Order: sequence, then C-alpha cells, then structure tokens
Amino acid sequence: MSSLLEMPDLVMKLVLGKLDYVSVQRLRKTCRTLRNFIDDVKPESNLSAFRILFTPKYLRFFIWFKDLENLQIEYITVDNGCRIVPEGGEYQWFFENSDFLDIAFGDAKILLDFTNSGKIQKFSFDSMCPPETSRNPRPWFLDRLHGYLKFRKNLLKIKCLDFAFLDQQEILDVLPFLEPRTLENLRLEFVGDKIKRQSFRTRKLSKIKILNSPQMENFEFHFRQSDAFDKLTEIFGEISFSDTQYMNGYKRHWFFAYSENSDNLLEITFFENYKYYAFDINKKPKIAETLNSGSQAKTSGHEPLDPRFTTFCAR
Amino acid sequence: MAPKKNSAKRPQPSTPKPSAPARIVKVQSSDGHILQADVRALLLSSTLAATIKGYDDENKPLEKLEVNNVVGFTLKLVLEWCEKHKEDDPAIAQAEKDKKNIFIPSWDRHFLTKLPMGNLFDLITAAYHLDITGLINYGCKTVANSAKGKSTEEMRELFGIPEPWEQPSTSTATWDD
Repeated sequence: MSSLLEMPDLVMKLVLGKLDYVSVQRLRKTCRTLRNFIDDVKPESNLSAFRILFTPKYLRFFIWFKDLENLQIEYITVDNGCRIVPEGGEYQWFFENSDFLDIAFGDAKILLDFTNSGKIQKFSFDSMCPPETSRNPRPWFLDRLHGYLKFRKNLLKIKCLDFAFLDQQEILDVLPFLEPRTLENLRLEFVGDKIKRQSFRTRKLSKIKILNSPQMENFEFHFRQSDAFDKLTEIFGEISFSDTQYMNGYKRHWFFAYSENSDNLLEITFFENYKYYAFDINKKPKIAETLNSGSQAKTSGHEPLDPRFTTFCAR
Repeated sequence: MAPKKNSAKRPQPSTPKPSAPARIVKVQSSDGHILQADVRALLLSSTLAATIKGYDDENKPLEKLEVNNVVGFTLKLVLEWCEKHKEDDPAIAQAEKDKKNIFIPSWDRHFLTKLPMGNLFDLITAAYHLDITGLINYGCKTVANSAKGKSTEEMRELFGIPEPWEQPSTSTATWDD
C-alpha cells in the first residue's frame, strides 16, 4: 500500500494547498520528512484576521481564516508552567517549566510564516495591562515580533492595523516592517498613563514610509489624558457648536481641513467621561457622510494646526 | 417551491454527438493487463492525448496504447473515471487546480471515498503521471477532506506514515492535540 510520503512532490503540494491551516500544522507534526517538506512549501494559511490580547497573566489569540473558520486560544501562565486552552475544544495542554509567552510567540510566528502572498484584513494588538504592571507581556512579545518581522523574507501585508502602544519605540518596531502598499487603515492607541511630548521623536516617525503611503485611507491616533482638553481649547479656541451626548457625557468634535491640497480632513474627538482623545484622518467623502448623517459637528475650514498634532498625520 | 440552487454551478454534460461513433482503443497496463477505452475519455490525459495525436498526425493505425507506469488495478479506476468525465470542459479542471475549496460532484465523491487510502494514493499518482487535471484535483481534495479534524496520531495511521515523531516541540504545541 502506498503512503502519503510516496506521493510526487507536486501532488503533495496540491494536497497541502487544499488543506486548512490547522490540519497542515497537525500533518507537519507526523514525521520529519513531512515537517521539512511543509516548512519548505509553506502552504498559504489564508489568515484573514488576527487579534492578540495582552493581559499580565494570559495572552489570547483570536484567529479568523478566509474560509470563515476561526480559532481562539488562551496561553495562561501558571505557577510551574503554561496552560493552553483553545475555545470550545475538549483538550487542554500543560507544559511544565515553559513560558506562556514563548509558546504563544512560537504559534504566532508559524502562523505569520505561513502567510506570505495573502493579505491580512485586520491585525489588532489589544492591551488589558495596567501601564505600571511589572508583568506586562507586551514589551517582550513586541520585541520578539520585531526580531521576526525584521528578518522575514517579505514585508507582512496588512490592510487594517489596530495597534495599542506604550511608547514610540513599539511603533518603530512594527510599522516599518509592514508592506506600505497594502495598509489602508491604521489606528494607533496610546494605552500608557500619560503621553509625554519628549518621548516622541517626530523625525524618526516621519521616516516610516507607511505613514506617507498614498494607499492610506484612514489614520487614527487615540489617547487618554486628563489635562489635554484645556490645552486643546487653548490652541483651537472654545468649541462653538453644540456637543453630542455620549454615554452620560459629551463627545466633542473638531474638524480641520488638513492642507490646501490634500483630500484629507483631520477630525479630533474628545470623550469627556473618559478623558479620551481621538485624532482621525479621513478622506473627505467619509467625513462628508458623517456630517450629512446628522452629526452636529462642523468643519472649521483651513485652520493652521499646531505642529505637535500633525506629527502622526498620514500625509 | 424553493428555487433550485447551484443548478448552474457546473455545466451539464452535453448529449453525445450522434454523428461520431465511439472510437475504442486498447490500453495496456505496466503489468500486462489489456483494457478498452473510448479515445474521447483518454483525451482527458494530456500524456495519452499527445501520443494519440502523434499516431493520428502520421496516419498510423492506433491499436494499443501502453501505459508503463500504472498497474492494471489502478488503470481500470483511471479509465472508469475518464469514461464518466469524457464530456467535461477541461477549462474547469484547470481553474480548480489552485483553489482551496472545490466542489466534488456526488459521483466522484462516492467513487473516491470508497477506495482505501493506499489505492487512492495510487490513483492520484497515476493521474499525475498521465496528467489528468480533474482527477488530480478531486483526488487531492478527497485526501485533504479525510485529514480534516484528525489528530496527528490519527493522520499517521490514516496516511500510512510509519515514523513515530519525537516529543512534541513546544513551539508548535497548540496545533496538535
């Protein structure tokens, strides 16, 4: 009787091309020959979206594939090792003396390694770590990710990136290694305690190609800060339109034409309850839709912007 | 009554042209078995089509085709499949070659899944040697479908992979069960 191992290489490639990602990975573990062959061929994962949630005690991966299959896996740190819990599965694994981050990163790396020609529709990094926590897994994970992206044979193709960050270096570690021609939406969220001007080197950021890419349709920069609202009103003056009710507080909008020649508009939103700020750069038609749909915000015309707020602009 | 879905998904085989009587030739397997087949069915194999064209171009009578790398048992299966698909549009098989998800018609699903895995591998290998794209596609998809949801150990058993694997490496732990 023939074995799968005796099939011609081309046939093996076709079989792998018709297998789902998890089955490929299980097949990869059956024997050395297949592992080497699969690592060589790297059948496309068909990864559609990938979300990583960081907390001090566990990491959770949310993985969606193009054929609508999805996976959720939790990597939990326990006293003497790591516990892995896939959602809905009857199995759990325990690895003694293993670090949950090592295992999680290993899985993420393989998943990204098998995503070569495909474009990831959405990639999100979410954080539920208090900024001061000593057990924050983000810096370690992002450092490893940086090492991986730097030596990847091609740039990772992502259409929409949602990136929660703690300092500028995290942005610099990831953004330059993404394919600028595919990124259309970028959302950066500062999840630290207080944003410090001196911790941002605008010259370094301006060198990131992706921020100047003509493909970029939407760019958002969000942060939370208790004392920024007074500064904003100092710069832009008192807001002169009625505020929108939002979760028992106010949601305030400013709109600015970004420059004489640009299609883009800058939208600044302040959520009073949360002391939360959102800087969004959108193509004009999208903003026009918002305005026409009954929002009470208004465009303030070609007003010059304070340079510190244009640091992160897409164009 | 609900409208029929997917009725236009695959083109229906056209009725055979009454003017062209079937041209039957003998096909010999590597172990000497002699089978008979309609030339139109054999044309699904690019390899055999080239040989047949060679005979026709030189106006030589085609009495027997020799297939040196396929045994009789497997060749019989190949010819049965080709006979069933001799009216197919070859462009469809070509288009499905690199697709992950392809639809296997019920006749083919029944035909392929009833085979033990070893025979299926032989059939796919024969289809590869004879270059029959449609059979390769359905065969590979059938193998892929049978692997779906199986654990590493079950796959080893199903696919006849003898070598026991070393201790699972932690870096890929999650994808195993």
